[in-house]
Amino acid sequence: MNDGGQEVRRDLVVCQICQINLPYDFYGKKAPYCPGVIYFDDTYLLRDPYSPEPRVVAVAGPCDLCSSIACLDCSVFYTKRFCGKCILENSDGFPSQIVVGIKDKLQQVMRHQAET
Amino acid sequence: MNNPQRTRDNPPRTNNPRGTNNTQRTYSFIHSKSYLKPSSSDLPDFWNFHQKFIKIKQRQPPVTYPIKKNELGLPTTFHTQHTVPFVCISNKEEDDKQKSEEFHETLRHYVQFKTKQTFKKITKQIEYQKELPIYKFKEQIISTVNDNPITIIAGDTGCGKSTQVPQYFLERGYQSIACTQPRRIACVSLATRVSQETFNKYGQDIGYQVRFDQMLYSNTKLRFLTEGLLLRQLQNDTELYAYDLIILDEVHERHLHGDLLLGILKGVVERRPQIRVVLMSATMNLQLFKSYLPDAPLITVPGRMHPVEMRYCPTHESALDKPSSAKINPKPYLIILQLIDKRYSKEERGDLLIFASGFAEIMTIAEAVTEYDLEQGNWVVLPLHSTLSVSEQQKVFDYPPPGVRKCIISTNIAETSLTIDGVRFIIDSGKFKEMAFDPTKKLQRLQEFWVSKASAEQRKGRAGRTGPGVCFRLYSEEDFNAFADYPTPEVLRVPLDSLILQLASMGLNIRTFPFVQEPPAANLNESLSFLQQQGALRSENELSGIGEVLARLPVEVALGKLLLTAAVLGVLEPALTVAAGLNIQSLFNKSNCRGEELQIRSLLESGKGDLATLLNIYEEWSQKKSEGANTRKWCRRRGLKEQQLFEMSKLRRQFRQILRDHLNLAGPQETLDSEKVLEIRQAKWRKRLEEPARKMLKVSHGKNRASNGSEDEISDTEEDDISSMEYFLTNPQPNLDLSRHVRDTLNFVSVFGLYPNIAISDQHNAEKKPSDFVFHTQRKNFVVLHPNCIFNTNFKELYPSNNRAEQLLAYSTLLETNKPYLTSVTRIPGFTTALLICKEVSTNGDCTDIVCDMWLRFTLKLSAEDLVHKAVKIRQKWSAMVADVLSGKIDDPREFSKRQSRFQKTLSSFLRSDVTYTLRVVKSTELSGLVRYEHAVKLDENITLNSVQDTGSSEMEAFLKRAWTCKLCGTAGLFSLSEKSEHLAKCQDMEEEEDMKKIEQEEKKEETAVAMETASQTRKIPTREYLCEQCGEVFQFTNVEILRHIREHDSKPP
Repeated sequence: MNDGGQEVRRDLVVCQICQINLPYDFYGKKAPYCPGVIYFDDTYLLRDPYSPEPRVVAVAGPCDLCSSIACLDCSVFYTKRFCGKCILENSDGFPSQIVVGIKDKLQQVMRHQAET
Repeated sequence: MNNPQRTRDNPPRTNNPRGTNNTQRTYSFIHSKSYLKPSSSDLPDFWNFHQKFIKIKQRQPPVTYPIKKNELGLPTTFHTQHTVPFVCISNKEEDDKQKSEEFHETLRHYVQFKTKQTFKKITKQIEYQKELPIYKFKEQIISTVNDNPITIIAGDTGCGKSTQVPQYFLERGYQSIACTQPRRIACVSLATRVSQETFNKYGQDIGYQVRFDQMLYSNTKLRFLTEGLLLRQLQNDTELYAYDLIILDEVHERHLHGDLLLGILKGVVERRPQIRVVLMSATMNLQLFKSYLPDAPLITVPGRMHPVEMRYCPTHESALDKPSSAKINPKPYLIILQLIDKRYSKEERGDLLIFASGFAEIMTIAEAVTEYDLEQGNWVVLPLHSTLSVSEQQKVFDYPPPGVRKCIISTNIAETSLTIDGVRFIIDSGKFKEMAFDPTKKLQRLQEFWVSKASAEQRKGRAGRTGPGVCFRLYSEEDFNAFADYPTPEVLRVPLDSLILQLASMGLNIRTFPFVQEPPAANLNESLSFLQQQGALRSENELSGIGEVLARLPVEVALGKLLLTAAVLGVLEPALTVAAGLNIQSLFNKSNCRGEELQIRSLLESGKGDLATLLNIYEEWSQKKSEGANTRKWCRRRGLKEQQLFEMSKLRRQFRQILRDHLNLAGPQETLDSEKVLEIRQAKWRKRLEEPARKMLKVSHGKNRASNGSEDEISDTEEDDISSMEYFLTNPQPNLDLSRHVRDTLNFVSVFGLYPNIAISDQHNAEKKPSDFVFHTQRKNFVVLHPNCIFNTNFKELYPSNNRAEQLLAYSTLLETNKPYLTSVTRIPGFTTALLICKEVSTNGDCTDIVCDMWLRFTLKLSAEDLVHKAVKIRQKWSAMVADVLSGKIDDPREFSKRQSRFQKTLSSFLRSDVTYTLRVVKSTELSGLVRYEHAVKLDENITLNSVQDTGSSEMEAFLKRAWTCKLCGTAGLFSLSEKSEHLAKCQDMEEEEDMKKIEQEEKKEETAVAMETASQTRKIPTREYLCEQCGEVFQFTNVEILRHIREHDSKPP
């Protein structure tokens, strides 16, 4: 039993942009239960909790530029994973489709963080 | 398949649910080891996506190579290809390069699409959990529980306590958590829900355990289980070392088992202070728990509820004392329906939930609403009660078409057990029906009561779950104020027999048990004396050997006794069926049974009564099942509920297992095919993970109720498939031809189990129509047969020899609704059975006047002395067998089964003895001085001679020597009563010895005949003459048999 009251964390990864706590079960390029899907880079992976089949989903990954960890919502994959902040800072280097999408999302996050 | 364009022009058909169309076969990447397998449940979804994706793709120019890159190393031209962070691999490559590429591209985008979808669901889930009222209390709850052995969490509907609290502790690293629920269904749905919310690895951390079903792994940390099941576990693990945290949910519902757990855990906490207990309750009646556990901290969490407007619409009628059989008036309900139609626009959604008291009321209202809807056309009527099958119940969750409202008419099942979203209007009749137990008459009474204030509020709250609502109460505010505060807890109104046994088996004394609320002393005393009379208790808190076994069986004492006796007497298999049948809801489909079904079903009826009929139905059904017939159809044609038959098969297995564990009985241990077990497990998982598909309700006005169409069949099949798989996994072949003595023994065992539930025919039945027959039990006169009883139609069977006093009826329950009914009735020859089962059998001097249990009086023309003495012998043998089984003295199971079969034969011929008598109930005026023991001759602890005082001479009878000739040996002379008894006993022993020799010879003949037959039938194995040197006999044996014979000698040295 856990007498000391010390929190034993299950595997959780924190998005360094929106601070959401996300569960994951593997960090790497693929999960053993779903060998058919291979990620290009190391990613936080989770078995799809809503599917009866052994399916894998990504929940977060490190940014190729700043290495901070960003969730799927706060990052974009464009041949590599980039966090929202880096995309905005280097907006000239990204196609406009990507910049527009992430800008909205980041503004939402900032507003939310300002509120709380 | 030469032309790759074909696929593009004719995208794969997606209407095939299993995806087994031709197109699929053209893709060799879908194989048993690839991401998408031919069996994958998401295959149709994939094809759907494929179809759309190809269209989109055609609009997008392909990637141009070489890819130009900018200073960040990124392609300068945007293409969706670059946004997918993974590849999908397949072990086999398609010969056709282009198609292979196309497929992989689609698959990548499909997986990408699904990943985004799932991620959205996950974040939504996380947000949702944070918004629940209980989330703010998370840290407080965890630290309070850490510091206190018992904590009470009170919160109303919608606060999220049932789903969140167990997770909080799982997250905190508790290794073994049990969370109890009053209902089985809640255990399963909570386990599914919580395992999805915690995104745990395929449910391994979280499991459930309910009767007949469990989903547990070696590393399961949190299990949802029923209150009853945790109680069973306490019998083997009295300090609950298996768990470090126990959460009792819904304790305010005050079920018997929940109350019992509270009392037990209070003791466990004292002895094992490191265990943690959390009680979760609604906010009602908190004071009671506070005063019961004064040291336990209380955390109150607000609920989340929309405002509900309250309208009192008293009907005035309800105040009148109407007879309970009269139909209710549906008028007030219709007036409110009209009001809803008038006041609320049809565009505004919102359904109506009516709380009626019982089945008949629901049907009356449903009929009226259906008729009303014929004019209106905007209602769909859905009755809801516990006797509906799960898929029928599921209908109340379906959507109505736009502009149509659901009108759900329900018992109090929708108060707590079932939660239906989208309800905006409530009509509360203020009534409910409940079984009340009358301990003095041993009678269950189904009565209509006013609900409590707490229930009325709960009903009202059902309208405010998803938005503001309106509640119409068909009673006045004054009525409401006069209601009781809370519903009567179960412990105050049910028989306490099983509770006492369970406590005693844990070494707890019921007299000192810390009840939340003490049960009434009368109920307690009644149960204690009943259990002592039944031989289950030695003293108030000491179990007898029989009691030990009964306490383990999750059935009433009567059924436990039935099973135990059947196991001892060698008729366990059919008795399992009878006990299972008495332990389920009715097999018969009430609402869908017309003359035709009844007629076909009547072929399965047995003249012996309802229990034998049950047995016939079950055996016939299993026969059909093993033949691979369509049993679903078979059941429907007979108006039977197949789910109940499946339930019976599970019960049988459970009973068999428990008896085998606790009695030293022969029989092969059950070995399950592990592959099949796995298959069933997976099938169940899939079913659980698939969200129940809510369908659009079909509206065909005026016909909504009679929808027994093919739709139901489809929705049920999967459930049935699983049930069938489980059935075949565990059930032996049915045995249809039971011999006469087995059937007689089974019948006797059933009656013995049910005793003292015995009824006698009224002496005036002979002059009446069968429909007017009345019966008397020991404690209640003038009772009638239940409408389901087969003797209603087969009354001739009840009096086969036209001697209307000859038979007794054994019944399972005395149930009072509008009349007192005998349920599950079996007929038995009165006199011989009474001699064997009654506690107190007294005769007059010459055995012509016999009084049993101071209630039944048999008068004979000829002396029954030989029968009385035989009865003593049979009772002796029987108790010897019981004692041997309980003490585990059976070394040779084959020898014991011979003993059983001999006993069955003796019993059968005794029960069928040719004896003429009249039978009546002892009048209360006769009672005093009727039985006196001063001059009695005691034959055993139950049977005494010369104790019935019918003539003046009986005082002398004990000493007088009378001329008497023994019928057995022909000896004549002067005998006193006790001399006569002694002589008879000896003579019967001798007679029996001779009988035994005959029987043994017969048995041998039978055995060799069987052996010969099997030898000749199965395979022509050559036999040869074999002289055994050890026993000196010559046999006709095969080689295997010779070896077996030698081994037999070896295993038991001479």
